[in-house]
Amino acid sequence: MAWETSASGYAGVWATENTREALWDAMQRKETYATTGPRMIVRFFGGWDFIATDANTRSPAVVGYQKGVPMGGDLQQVPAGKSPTFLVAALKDPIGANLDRVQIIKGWLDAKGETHEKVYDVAWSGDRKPDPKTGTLPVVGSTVDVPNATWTNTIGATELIKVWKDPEFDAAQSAFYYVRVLEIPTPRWTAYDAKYFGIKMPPEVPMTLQERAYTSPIWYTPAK
Amino acid sequence: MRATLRKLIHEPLLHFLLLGAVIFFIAGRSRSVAVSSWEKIVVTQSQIESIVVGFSRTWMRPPTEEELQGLVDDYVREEVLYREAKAMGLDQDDIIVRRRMRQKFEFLSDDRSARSGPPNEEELKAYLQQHADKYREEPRFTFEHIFFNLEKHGKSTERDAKAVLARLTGKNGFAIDVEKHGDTFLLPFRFEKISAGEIARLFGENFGKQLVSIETGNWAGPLESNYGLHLVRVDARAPGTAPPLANVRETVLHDLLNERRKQELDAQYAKLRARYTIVIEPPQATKVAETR
Repeated sequence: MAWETSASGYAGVWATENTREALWDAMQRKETYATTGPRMIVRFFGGWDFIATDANTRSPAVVGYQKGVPMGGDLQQVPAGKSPTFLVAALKDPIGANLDRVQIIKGWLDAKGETHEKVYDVAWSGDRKPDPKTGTLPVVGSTVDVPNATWTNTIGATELIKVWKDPEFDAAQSAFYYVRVLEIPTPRWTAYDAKYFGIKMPPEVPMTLQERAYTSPIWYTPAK
Repeated sequence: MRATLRKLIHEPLLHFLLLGAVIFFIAGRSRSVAVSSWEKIVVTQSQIESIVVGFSRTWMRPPTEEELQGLVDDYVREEVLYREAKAMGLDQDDIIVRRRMRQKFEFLSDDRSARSGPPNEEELKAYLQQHADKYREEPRFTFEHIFFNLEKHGKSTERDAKAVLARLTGKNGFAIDVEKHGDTFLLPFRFEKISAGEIARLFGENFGKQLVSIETGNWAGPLESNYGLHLVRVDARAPGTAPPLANVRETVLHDLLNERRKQELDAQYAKLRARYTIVIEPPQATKVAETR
């Protein structure tokens, strides 16, 4: 049903210059990400040696390319006893909503050949603390005024950046890691329509959403 | 009474009327069938050729015997239905047909304006001069900036930025390593010849407006963007210049031809319009009263 669909879409590539060739190369490298519409900027690097202070450098991409591979890349030759580390950074759309959180989604293949997925909250706005028992991060809240179809950027962050290490790495399992960036809740198109046309939506229609960005994965394949 | 009736039966005018009614009835009945069944549709060799050409253009090969038969059959079918539809007056008051007719008519006059020949160099230059604003390039800036994140500095963001600015503009300010100041930022810290539009798109409208009023060569600010505060040093700026004809020739030519075409159409329309008396009925009196 049409009202169940939220997103249009928007794709980004990290190209060295704005030419046909460079854009094509970037797509072939899979150095790409997509969003549900907003022009967020997302960086994602994987390597073995990222440390927490790498997130404090002025230009994270410099250290990102030095120490690792970008989104779409492959992690190879695991040094004995090391776990993969990731540098992830996201900047909000300059005219869009602030950011709620950055997540890394890990997928892996176990010994029986079955697939698994797990979502890790990596960076978030404000001083929220994950629940010590469940590990769940409290929601960011909402500033959405549904009847007026407006919101304010009084919650959330303009920029989120963090180094993360896989706490459950198994060098024998194939895995992928990708990033998801969530914006704070904003009015959904249904809310704008309801206001513009002065109509009431049925209760099952969602009136807010969290726009998001998601990157190409970084892949890990065990050595044969 | 009887006599009158007999007299009437012998009346030639009655015979004439009755006979006329019979003929009229028969002719009227047969006419509705006859209109199409008596007409002839000839598919000429040249029409078949154009069908073949059309097919080949789409499929990159000529049609097979069977395909051609199908195409011709379809052509005949279209012709029959077209004629019937026209006989029924289906083309009247049809918004699409009207639009298409108008388009075709205007296409024909297009040909006429093309015949007057391409504009010469002088005409192009004159057009460019007249419409200089339309072709003016956007102003461009080369600048460097230091970013201050509002979430990291909180209420003291502006104070912190001003403190750094004071050091940069003070004695030996040039010796300070800029890279040691400010916060992480995902966009570049230096932009080369970036257009005003691009700046507005990356940093927000407001930032672009503030940047315009900053002196070239010195650190200044802080300016507010949609991300936070920035100290900015504009190293070079290129005002929006009017380009020489050579750079925009194609566009100017295209625009000038387009303008001429419009003028031609308007002139033609004015001439045609003069042949008509146009009456636009006023709205009903009560309605006028209402709107007033």
